[in-house]
Amino acid sequence: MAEIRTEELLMNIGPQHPSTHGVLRVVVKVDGEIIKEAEPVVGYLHRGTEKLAEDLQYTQIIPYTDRMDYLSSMVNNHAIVTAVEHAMDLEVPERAEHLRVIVVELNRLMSHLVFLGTYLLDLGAMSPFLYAFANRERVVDYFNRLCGARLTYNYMRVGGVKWDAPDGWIEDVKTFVPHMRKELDMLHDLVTGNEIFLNRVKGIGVYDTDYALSLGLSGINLRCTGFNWDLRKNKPYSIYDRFDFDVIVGQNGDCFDRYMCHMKEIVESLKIVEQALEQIPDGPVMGKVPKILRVPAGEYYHAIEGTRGELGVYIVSEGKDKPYRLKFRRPSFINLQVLPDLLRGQTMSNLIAILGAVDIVLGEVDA
Amino acid sequence: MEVNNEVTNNNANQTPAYIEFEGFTKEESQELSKAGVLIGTLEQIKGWARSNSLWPLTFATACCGIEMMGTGAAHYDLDRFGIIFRASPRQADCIIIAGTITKKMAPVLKRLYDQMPEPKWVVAMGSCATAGGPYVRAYSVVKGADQIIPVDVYIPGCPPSPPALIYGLNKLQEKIRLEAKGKKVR
Amino acid sequence: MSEETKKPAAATEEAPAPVDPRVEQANAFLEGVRSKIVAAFGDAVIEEAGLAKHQPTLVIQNDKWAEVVDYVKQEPSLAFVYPEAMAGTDYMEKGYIEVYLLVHSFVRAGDLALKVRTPRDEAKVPSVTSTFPGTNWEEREIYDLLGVTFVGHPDLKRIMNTDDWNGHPLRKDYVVQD
Repeated sequence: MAEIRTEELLMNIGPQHPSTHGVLRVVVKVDGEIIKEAEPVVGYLHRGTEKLAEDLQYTQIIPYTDRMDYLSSMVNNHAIVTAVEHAMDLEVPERAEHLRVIVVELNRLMSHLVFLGTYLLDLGAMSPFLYAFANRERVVDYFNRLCGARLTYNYMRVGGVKWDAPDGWIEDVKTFVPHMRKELDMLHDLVTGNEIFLNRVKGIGVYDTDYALSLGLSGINLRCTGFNWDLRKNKPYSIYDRFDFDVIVGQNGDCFDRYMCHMKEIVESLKIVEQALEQIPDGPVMGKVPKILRVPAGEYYHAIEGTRGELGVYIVSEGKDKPYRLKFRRPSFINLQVLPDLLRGQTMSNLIAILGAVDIVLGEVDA
Repeated sequence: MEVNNEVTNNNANQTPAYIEFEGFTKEESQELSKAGVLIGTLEQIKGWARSNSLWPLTFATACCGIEMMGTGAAHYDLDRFGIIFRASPRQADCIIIAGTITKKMAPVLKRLYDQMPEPKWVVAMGSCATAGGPYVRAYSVVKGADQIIPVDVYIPGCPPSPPALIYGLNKLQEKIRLEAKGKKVR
Repeated sequence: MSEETKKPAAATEEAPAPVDPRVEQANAFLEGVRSKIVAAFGDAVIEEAGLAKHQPTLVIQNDKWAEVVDYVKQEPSLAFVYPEAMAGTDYMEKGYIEVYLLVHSFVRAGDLALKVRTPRDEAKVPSVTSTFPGTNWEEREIYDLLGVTFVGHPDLKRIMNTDDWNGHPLRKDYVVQD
């Protein structure tokens, strides 16, 4: 039989598409069903946060960081306040540190639940989305009681946190931890053993550690290759050195490993939350900070372990109360560069699976 | 009898729905439609049907999109209002603009709006879509979605909580029903 | 921009002021790296060296930028293989734009900040994408927002703004058009 001649087709997976990662556009050249080349186009959500930050005082920048990686706003807040505290050598009271760790780890958990829900929604399964969001609603409810907002918290301040936990909050969060563990078992039952799911995600999107390091990947995208690098352990900040938790590493560097790393990290986050809830002392929640924050002149870089990787803040200051240049090292932006190499030779349905497993948030890609 | 429906969606100068009858002038047709029993009721039935099965296009740009997803999920269900999210603009009859519109995204939004078939409505969710939001002074942000397409309902908030979004969608449903009765709705 | 060490050596009292151990460590790290680079490329390639709040920082000459970055990655005793961050800053009064690259070495267990300067009018910096493919998009972002042309970049075009945008928004003299 004669060879069927196929032509290459330039296709656009447009900025508006149902896999809800946001406004990402991928221009692919396909030959039949196989992708020859893929190029992501970003910038559809570029809001100019860094330019706006040059006109704002440090405390006023904190709400803008909420909206960068909007699934884990507390972590973004944490990044900028620890960067300014590192630059100014400020002390944070113990209770504030513990509250910070509790909310950051709960937020990490929430973001991983959204990953689970949306990844499986992309792959075609509707129910895990509902279960994941139902659990997320519980945590959102706790945060609502704590700081008044559901998504963009604006909770941390340089030197501490804004409000203390209301009465009964700590006990309620203590009841959440065993509940979430049971829910996680249920989600594992529902998803992880599913044959269709395993067939779709095992063995695709594989890369090794050298490639990951040269590309500057961080977070789960680096740890899925087997490389143990977590900023909470390797460059400890805040009070993470007091807690006992493991760093989850994968083995093969494929999409299934990334999924399993997300699920196991939920368990680790629950461990940290439990320990922090035990150890939390009483005391003030805001340290002694000057009314107007003036970062001494110079340049500073401080990075924390965000939910998607290394979230860094680079401040160039002239000694005034507004930064001269504020740059966010955004993990999703760097992690997304892996897409053109991973997609070469894959089918279109694998594109969705790989894109979902990279776990990007477009607010962070574009800032 | 010729049935010719004109349901327009612009906020400014709206002409209420009426049916042109043969042999009558436009004003007489409008009078007849307003007071009509059979045709008026048909319009109202259509309005009732359209409002109770609004199918929005998934157009989540930024953080408001997560709240929209949360509203559609288990705790605050949108399916009980008949609202199912559709992925293709050809199959949707309303578009909920959730999130910031940037200058790069604006032509895409316009094209999506044009691709939607009539009748269509637009909901601007959140302060970014209403008027630029916290990014109003940025160089790359369009200050409100109504600079690109006509908007029917504005929902304030940053992000609006799910009850607020549900309230806004209920308002849109009311607007559809009122428009069907022939009243101008601002 | 270099900063001198935190505790100045100009101590007027009898006993010298105690030096912060972190500063000593950082200085030792900086000296170790600096001596290797100078041994390979000569003295002139490093324009400034210092600490920026315990972070060793080196300012490299513009035309040797790509070679030095490649050297610190390939040299086995330095092995700065992990690019952590890249940023650009517009120093309008001083008349130059500075590109900042932070690399990490697992062998030496430390970070090194490398910087390169270029005049504002014709901003050109050799690209390091051949050494660190992960800087591809960062360089495009710096090109888009600051107007620095990276010589040797495989695909230099705007990334955040539309292709027909006028001007470079993050420059200090940019006027917002509506």
